Amino acid sequence: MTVFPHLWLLAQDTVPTAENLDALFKELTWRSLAHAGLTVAIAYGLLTAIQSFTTAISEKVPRRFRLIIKQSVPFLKALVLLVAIVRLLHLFVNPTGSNLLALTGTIAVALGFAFKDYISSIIAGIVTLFEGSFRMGDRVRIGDHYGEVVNYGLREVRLRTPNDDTVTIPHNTLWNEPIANANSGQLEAQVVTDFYVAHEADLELVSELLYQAAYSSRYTQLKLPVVVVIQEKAWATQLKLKAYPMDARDEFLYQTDLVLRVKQACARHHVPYPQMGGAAAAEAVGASGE
Amino acid sequence: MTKQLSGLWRSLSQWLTQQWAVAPTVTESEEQWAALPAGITQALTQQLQALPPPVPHTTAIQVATREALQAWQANPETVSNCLVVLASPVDAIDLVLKAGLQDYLLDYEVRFFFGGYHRPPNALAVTGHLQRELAPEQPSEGTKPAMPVTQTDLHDSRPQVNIIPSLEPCFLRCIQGWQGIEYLQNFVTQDDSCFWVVGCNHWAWTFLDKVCQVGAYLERTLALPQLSGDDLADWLRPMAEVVLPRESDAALTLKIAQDDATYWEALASVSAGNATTAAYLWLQTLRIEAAQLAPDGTLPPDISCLEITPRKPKLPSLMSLEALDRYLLHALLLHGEITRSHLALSMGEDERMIRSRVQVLRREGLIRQTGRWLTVHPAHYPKLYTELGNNNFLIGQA
Repeated sequence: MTVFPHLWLLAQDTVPTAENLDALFKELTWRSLAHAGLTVAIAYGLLTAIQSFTTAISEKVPRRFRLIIKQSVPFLKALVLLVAIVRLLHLFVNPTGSNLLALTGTIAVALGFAFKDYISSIIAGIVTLFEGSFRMGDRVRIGDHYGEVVNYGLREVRLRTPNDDTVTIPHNTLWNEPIANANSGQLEAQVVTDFYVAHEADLELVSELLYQAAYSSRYTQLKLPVVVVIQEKAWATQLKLKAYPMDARDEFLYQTDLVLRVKQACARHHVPYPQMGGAAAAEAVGASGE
Repeated sequence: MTKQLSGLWRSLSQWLTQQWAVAPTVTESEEQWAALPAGITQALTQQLQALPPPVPHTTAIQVATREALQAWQANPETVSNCLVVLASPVDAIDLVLKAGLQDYLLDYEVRFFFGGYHRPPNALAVTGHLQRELAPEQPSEGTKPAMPVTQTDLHDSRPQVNIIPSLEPCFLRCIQGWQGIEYLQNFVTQDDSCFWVVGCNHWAWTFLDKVCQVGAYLERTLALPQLSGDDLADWLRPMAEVVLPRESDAALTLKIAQDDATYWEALASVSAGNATTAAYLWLQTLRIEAAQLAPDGTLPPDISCLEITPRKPKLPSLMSLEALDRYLLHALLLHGEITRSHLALSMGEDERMIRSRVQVLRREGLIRQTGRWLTVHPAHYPKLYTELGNNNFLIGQA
């Protein structure tokens, strides 16, 4: 209870009054307004240029450099915004400690009511930027949406889905939604491809064919491990082929290539596929739904 | 992590320098030079291909083979009975091995296998061919294995050295496409009655080591040394004066200036010491004074001697590659030389899908076709090495 008188005194100091408003704001002139307009225009131009230039250049450079360039975008944009805000404050506000305290308090109260979600998104964006749970160019799943992070804005992140749709997700969604990141800043992301064969199939042979399919695919990153995991199901034997494409963007082409190679080889070796009917089919459908 | 990042930035700056290097402007002094007429370039290419391999390469092979042989002879039970000689994908390793070892190991019985062997249309048939060639007679059950002959004995039986000049035709990157290599690595390690020398390109070796751990079986390797400017000058010295016979007129003598040491150093630098690349770059730098040509740009019929001057060596520019081009060029470098149908099989594409890209790459000079066989043009190798490495491909040593 004894702290309240001090807080009250502090509030008296920080809340701007009619007497100290002159000292808080600088004199408004046409010149300062023109400077402010110019600052906003330059900042906007720079932000647009950064986005366009990095998008264009990152798609032209070799893969190894693509992610470095993309990952620098949010930081460059944040730098531009920071410089622009400091410049604007400098134009209109006398930047003493107490003035800034008063101003931020006032702005916080005003924005807290009017733009609560917007501010929440911006703060979530800044926190996510430094937490590094995902970066530009990563392939992430946020909620029900999966895709490549193609833009990291002030308020939202944009994903390009495998169907070439663009999904905009506000940063404040990230407070509560789990984020699954497939490649975490790397070019490669593990791709898991399922295969099913009949119980009587020669598993040693099929497993070897799967390994060789991965090693022979042009997309495979051979510097990373290839693993085959076998599981028994009631209706078939499931083989999971886990391997990495050289570029996570190729994951669906990679899966297609693997399936084609494995099916051709299985046909050559007469590998039996599961014959499903009745209860087994229903169970398989249920499992694929999972 | 810091080391990785700094490496990445260094590669990026190198790549940017390579990409955005300002093209040299054509000065007046450059205008006085003209490219060689096509007929002369073709004749010089044939002369180049007939040159014996560089002495540092054959010497390195001879020294390494002798050392490996002596070590095996001294201790055949524990020392590997195989030496693998690695070269760049554009070097003709089979010719280098032949030149280095054919008349060198006189006190050994030297046998060459698969000289001029090409991958069969059915790539899975390679294992059968290897079996037929290497072990024509299957030992019956219970037969004792032959005792290794590591020294010349009283019956004048000499130790045997088997040479497989090139591994590349023995595999194809497809399912079961490297069964031949697995057969070979088992055969070589099980048959310790003789010594083996095997040639392979760095890229194929790196790939095979990943997919069938060939390095664990054939552990002793020798990488052909990079050539210095002096080595290149010595190697190409026979090209200083070339006499080209002509059907109707007297022979044409080509005199190629070769006494500029800085030129050879520059050539060694841009070719990264790779002999075949350097030879083709050298050929591309050759110019004649425009004044020696007739007004229509051809050689005057009465000319008997042509003075040729090498200009500053530089790598040819690389076209902007599509994703499919990179996979295609990687497959070509991996297999050394390959037919279009094998290329399609290896890439998992229909042949007609890759035909158009092969045509484009041929037109741009990146790919050469000899008969049915496609290869990468050696002059483009240094840039392709950087390009594919930066695009996350598994590549071998330069």
